[in-house]
Amino acid sequence: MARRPEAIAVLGRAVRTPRGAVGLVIAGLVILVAAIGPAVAPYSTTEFVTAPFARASSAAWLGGDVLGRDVLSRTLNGGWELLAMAAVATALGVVVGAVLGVAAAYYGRWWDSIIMRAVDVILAFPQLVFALLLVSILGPKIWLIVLAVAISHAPQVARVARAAALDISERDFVKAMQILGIPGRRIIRKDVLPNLTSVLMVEIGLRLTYSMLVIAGLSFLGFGLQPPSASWGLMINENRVGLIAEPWGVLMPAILIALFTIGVNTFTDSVARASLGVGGRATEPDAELALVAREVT
Amino acid sequence: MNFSRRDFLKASLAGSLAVGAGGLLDACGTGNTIKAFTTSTAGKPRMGGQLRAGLTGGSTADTLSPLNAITNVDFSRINNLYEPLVGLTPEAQPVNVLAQELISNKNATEWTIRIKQGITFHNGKPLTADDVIYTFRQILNPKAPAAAAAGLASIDAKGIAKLDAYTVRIPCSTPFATLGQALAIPGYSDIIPVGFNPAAPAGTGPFKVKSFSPGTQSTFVRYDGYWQARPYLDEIVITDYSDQTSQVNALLAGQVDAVNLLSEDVISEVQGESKNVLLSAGGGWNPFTMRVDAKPFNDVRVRQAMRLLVDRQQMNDLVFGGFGTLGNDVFGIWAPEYDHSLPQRHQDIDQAKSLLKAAGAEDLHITLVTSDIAQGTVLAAQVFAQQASAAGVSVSVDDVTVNEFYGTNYLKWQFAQDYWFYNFYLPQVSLATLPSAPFNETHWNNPRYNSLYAQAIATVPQALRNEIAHEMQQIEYNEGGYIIPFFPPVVDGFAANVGGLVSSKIGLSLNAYDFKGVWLS
Amino acid sequence: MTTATEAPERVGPPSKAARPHPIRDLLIKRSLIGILTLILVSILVFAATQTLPGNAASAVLQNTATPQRLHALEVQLGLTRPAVEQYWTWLTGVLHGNFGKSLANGQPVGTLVGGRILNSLVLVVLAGVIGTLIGVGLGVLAAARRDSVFDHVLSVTSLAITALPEFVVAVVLVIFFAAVVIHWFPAVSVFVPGTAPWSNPRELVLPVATLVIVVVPYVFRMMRASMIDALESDYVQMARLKGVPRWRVLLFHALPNAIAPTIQVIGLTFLYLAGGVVVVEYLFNYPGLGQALVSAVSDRDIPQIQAIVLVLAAFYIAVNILTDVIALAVSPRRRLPRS
Repeated sequence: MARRPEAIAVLGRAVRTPRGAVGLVIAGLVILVAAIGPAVAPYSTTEFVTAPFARASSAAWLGGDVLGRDVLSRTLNGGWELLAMAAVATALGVVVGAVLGVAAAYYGRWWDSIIMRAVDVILAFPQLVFALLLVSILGPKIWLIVLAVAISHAPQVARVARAAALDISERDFVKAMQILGIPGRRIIRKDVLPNLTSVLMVEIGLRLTYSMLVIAGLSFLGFGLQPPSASWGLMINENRVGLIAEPWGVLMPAILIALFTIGVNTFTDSVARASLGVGGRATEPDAELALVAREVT
Repeated sequence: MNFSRRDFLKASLAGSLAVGAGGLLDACGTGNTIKAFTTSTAGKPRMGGQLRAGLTGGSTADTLSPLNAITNVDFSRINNLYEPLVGLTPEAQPVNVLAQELISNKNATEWTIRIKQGITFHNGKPLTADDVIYTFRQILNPKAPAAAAAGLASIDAKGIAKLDAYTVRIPCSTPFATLGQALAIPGYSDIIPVGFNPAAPAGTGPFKVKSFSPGTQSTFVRYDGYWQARPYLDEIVITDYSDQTSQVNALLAGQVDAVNLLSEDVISEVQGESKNVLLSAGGGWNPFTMRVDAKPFNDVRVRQAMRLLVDRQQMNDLVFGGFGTLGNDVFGIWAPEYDHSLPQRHQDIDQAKSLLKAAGAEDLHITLVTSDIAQGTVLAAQVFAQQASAAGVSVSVDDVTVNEFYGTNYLKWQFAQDYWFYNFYLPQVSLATLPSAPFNETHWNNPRYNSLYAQAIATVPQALRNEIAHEMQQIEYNEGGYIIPFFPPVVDGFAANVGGLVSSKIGLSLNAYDFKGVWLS
Repeated sequence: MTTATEAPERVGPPSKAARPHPIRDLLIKRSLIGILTLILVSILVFAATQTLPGNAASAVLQNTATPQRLHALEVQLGLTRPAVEQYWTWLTGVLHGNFGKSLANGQPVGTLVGGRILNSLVLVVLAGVIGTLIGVGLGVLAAARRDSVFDHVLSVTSLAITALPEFVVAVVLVIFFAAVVIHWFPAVSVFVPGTAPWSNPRELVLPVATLVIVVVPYVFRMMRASMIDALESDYVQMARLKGVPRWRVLLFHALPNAIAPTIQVIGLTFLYLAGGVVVVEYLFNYPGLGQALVSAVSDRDIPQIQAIVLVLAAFYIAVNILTDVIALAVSPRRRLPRS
């Protein structure tokens, strides 16, 4: 069974479906805006360009924010921090979760119990509440927000990884290798992990969406990135007070966040279908069921 | 490029105002048509009714005890339940309330206070000298000092003597010529009865407690034994709100009659829905604080440069819609001792640059610690940082949580902000700019200034005291560690049928929450 | 959404005697684990509060804090005792039903939090039940008219809604229904403490609506997928061949089989709501647990934080156990050990 190429193959299949293409394009557009934005913004994020909450004009195409800074420029500059934080938090959470889950599955009894009990403790919190507690206790520092979100992802990933890894570890060929004395780490690396890739890819997509929403939610409650940063979540919070007078300060970042998460959701959906060998429209019900089950839980 | 919010507001307010004028305030006095009210007009006063106030600033630490009133919402309760010996007029000047007269001796080391007769507490007990003595002993209790203790530190609590049923003698261990001013500050002399129990509080105020749920809601009913004119309202309900948006929504939807501490951005929204806005030029002050005992601010030229960096008008426009009062780096703007002849400072980037160069601090990099401790603080910090960059000073803003701000580093930050309620000049000095002051955040210690203070505090005649105070202010103006670019305005909203609210310079919302003169038409 | 159900059991040798009471055993085992988890959670949270910058005393006193006042208040609140002693006092108190006194205002935590629990529970239950019913209903309909315009519109909309942050939904609802466009519903709740939340139903409409909108897409997608799966099964085909009317097939043959996987999602819905109420309560000024938690953390009010966290964790654990029990009861296959 081919290993690394399979992951690429799955991605390739996904991109060729209508769902996958659309999702990728939308998410890609937002990433582009966030990446190139700072270079094309007409003003800096801190200069005062117009009156606070001024309507759109030729000087400021999307109007002014709470201090009269250019909403367009701040929006263009405000994406990469948020995306980077969400990406790192997701990657960290997935990696840690996968490691824990595979270790629990492979090494068995003792490790399994300890790891799964620790997972239970963290899962006893709603995700937002967990991040909120951590951040409001220690202060809204970037590394802390990323860490809090990552920790809240890890348990779920661990469970999924464990389930998939268990499936593999119990197979005969793995047991055969164990009897032959091949070291555990090698078996994990060469045989168990590669079969997890498609499962993990889907998890990454789902977790990425959720990371964005949790970080944006934290900013909304006042616990996210702090001023004078131009991050989208913070913009929504800062400009909320002028929503009636001049909505773009809130709407623009909200629209971009929504587009990104819709794009990622859609693309992840197509990846999941591709990995299950599921086609575009006419889908096998069993497979579709398994797919949705994974996405929704 | 000096955009001001006036122009913007003017355009959006066209034709959307309802109630007739009753004291209009022009932002910055240019005669434009912004209609922010300074008094409410709601027809004739009428007895009865329930006033519902939706207030931000409270928390589950809400209290009914005047000894520990700290937040805005605490004062909304305290100011209606209790009364002080000396209070403040809407012009922020002292006026006798429970006190009949206060007389000091020649060196201001002993005061005799006579209280009015015929006043009763909510529990029926009459007000006597014993209650006054009890109150002072509670405030100054060394084991559990009240919030006011720091400002009344000169009083020798043990030596307070009862001269007769309505007179007390108050000795002071150091001269205290401004006792009358100090007592007028909200929370400093609210009289409680002997044996006061915070769980069943009694005061002499126009309203008494019906129910109290800290962090959520409290209800008060009219006290029919009140010694002054009977209040119009039957009942007051004060609800804690966590955030301005819900407050404004509640006001617009008719769920509350009055809200406090609005930001200027919502004025047009509130007025657009036929509600009124109460605008007051408050006396509270939110300074930038520089520690003068360490680099880089130990060099007076650097401090002076920092003060010259600020474009005060622009900061006022951006943060407060132009409705604040420009500051001149000296506190106590409504105090009688304030020197209004000091020339208004403006931004002067060139002068700032040359001062910095002379001090060898051309590429200054500093961190400004800010926090959401009061309205506009964080916004002002961002404006400051942007303005400072014009002179090559790079300010990085560090927004910390309120808890961290008031935590172990409070009063030790190198460069930060703070907020103060209104106070008179010399009492404020004793709290902030003396080496012995409990809240000396700038770590200021100027020998000439200190000796001037010792003189002033023992000088009984007001005019003489003013002269000494002016000299002190001159020193602060030239060398001090505060940057005071503005005095924030106080903006409140209220329904069209609420009458009797006046704007007040005290700096507490809704006429310092004085609800005894309020009616509902 | 996070899964919190039991992962697949390890495969071992088939047991000799058939297990007589799998449900009861599950209940007992999970309850014990649950209690252990609660204790661990409380220790974790307590330890975290000890690392806070500032404590309850400085949170209360804010800028009026002089060293004497701070110290006096700390002694009064018992904050000068060693941490372990503070925790132990709290734990023994809890086992006697006494959750201590709030550090912010001295009132008994049990009363403070108890009132809030009911308020939040009303939101969660209402939103959960309504959301489930709507989600199941739409899911069944979409599956029945698979690949129709109706189906596609619903699928796309549900995908879009899951991408929206909760507060955006809430703000949009307030703008439309309360503050600006029309004024049908109140924008905030003005509760009188001590009255039941259902005494003023209009105040519940917008908060519940926000939560329902956020939650329906998940239930809908799951129901639709499992319904489609059930409709293709042999059992249902057989019923159709026998000439059973369409709607009967849908309701009595397909639905019962499709419901089992959806139970898990419904459980997750309730779990999600426990956290989702925080933002909603904040926006609508609704006096529930979420609001109390944010304010307790801000005040460093340790007894209140502990109590609220415990309640949330207990709710989570209870819903998890309930979900697994129901899932087990509904699908007989899983009661037998895997082989």
